[in-house]
Amino acid sequence: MGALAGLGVTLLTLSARADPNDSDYGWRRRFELEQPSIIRYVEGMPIPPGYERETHYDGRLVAVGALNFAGGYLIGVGTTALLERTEPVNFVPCVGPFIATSSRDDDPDEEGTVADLFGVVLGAMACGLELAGGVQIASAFVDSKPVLVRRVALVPQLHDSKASVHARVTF
Amino acid sequence: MRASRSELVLIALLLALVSGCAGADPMREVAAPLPNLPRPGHAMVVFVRPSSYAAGRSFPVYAFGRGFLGVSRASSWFATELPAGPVTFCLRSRSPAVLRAALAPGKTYYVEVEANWGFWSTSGDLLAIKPSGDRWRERERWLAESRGLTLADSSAVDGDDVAEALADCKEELASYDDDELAERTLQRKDGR
Repeated sequence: MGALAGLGVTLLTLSARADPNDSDYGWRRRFELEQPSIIRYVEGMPIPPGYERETHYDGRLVAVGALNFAGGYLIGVGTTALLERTEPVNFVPCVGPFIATSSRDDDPDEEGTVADLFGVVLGAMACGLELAGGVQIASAFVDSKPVLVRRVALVPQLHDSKASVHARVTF
Repeated sequence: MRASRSELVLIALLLALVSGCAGADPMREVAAPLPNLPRPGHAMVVFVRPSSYAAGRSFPVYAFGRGFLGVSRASSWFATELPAGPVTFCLRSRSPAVLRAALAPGKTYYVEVEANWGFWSTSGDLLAIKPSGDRWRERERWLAESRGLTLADSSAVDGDDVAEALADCKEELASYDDDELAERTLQRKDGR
């Protein structure tokens, strides 16, 4: 009787410790059945045979960020060209036009012209776009996606009580 | 140092604002790269939002007769297990979206949650991922490159909100033409 009670306690403990992911309906069972070509790598998870770890990045976010940055830079350079300001510092992204404006040898008492105002407004817009693009590119690389990619093709298996057929293709 | 009455009012307003914004998060991240398999008599429906666009915008997902299922976030997926049979899903956004499904037991179905650009706010859409379509090939990569979420606490969901969302979705469903409906319908054979 005591032995039976002990066995019951052991079974209860084991079932309480069982990982639900290992159950017949857990994700590990799905993985065995489907063997997907790519899955997310979860920290601490053993890498299954035939899979290799890779890091993916959000390519779309990088592309959008690059477009924003390029667009902002073109607006900045275009404004510089329009205002006929050819100092090399104007071509420095974002802050260049502001440095150029503040370091010009104008009379400090002279009021700013409409062109100056135009330059500052467009420069600020360009700088904002460049910063947004930079943040998007940086966030794409910070938010990396660790994945496991299957390098070995599926192994079709025909199981019979006596014989089995295995086919393996490696690339 | 004593705070003036106006300072106290300001502090109270800020605290109210902060506590109001910090509502209970119904979703939590799961340490699983794939959704579970459905139990007997049930089907699994996976809502995957692969794009990182509009990262700050979340879309609550409901099912007629079942209520709140979860919240779809950018670059994430969540799975919900439902009894086999017909079901209609509803996504709440500026413009609601509806998807109908006929679920077979033991099968897993995939739905893409798409965030679309809008002038005032982003709107969401539900699109069927079928084995015959291009989205099916992308499905594994989308899951791999997204975070898995699960519904942890639905107690914060307001019943009035659910009723309102479902009423909006009912109107939306009636407005779909045949092509729109086809794109938002999962048949029994579309499960895996």
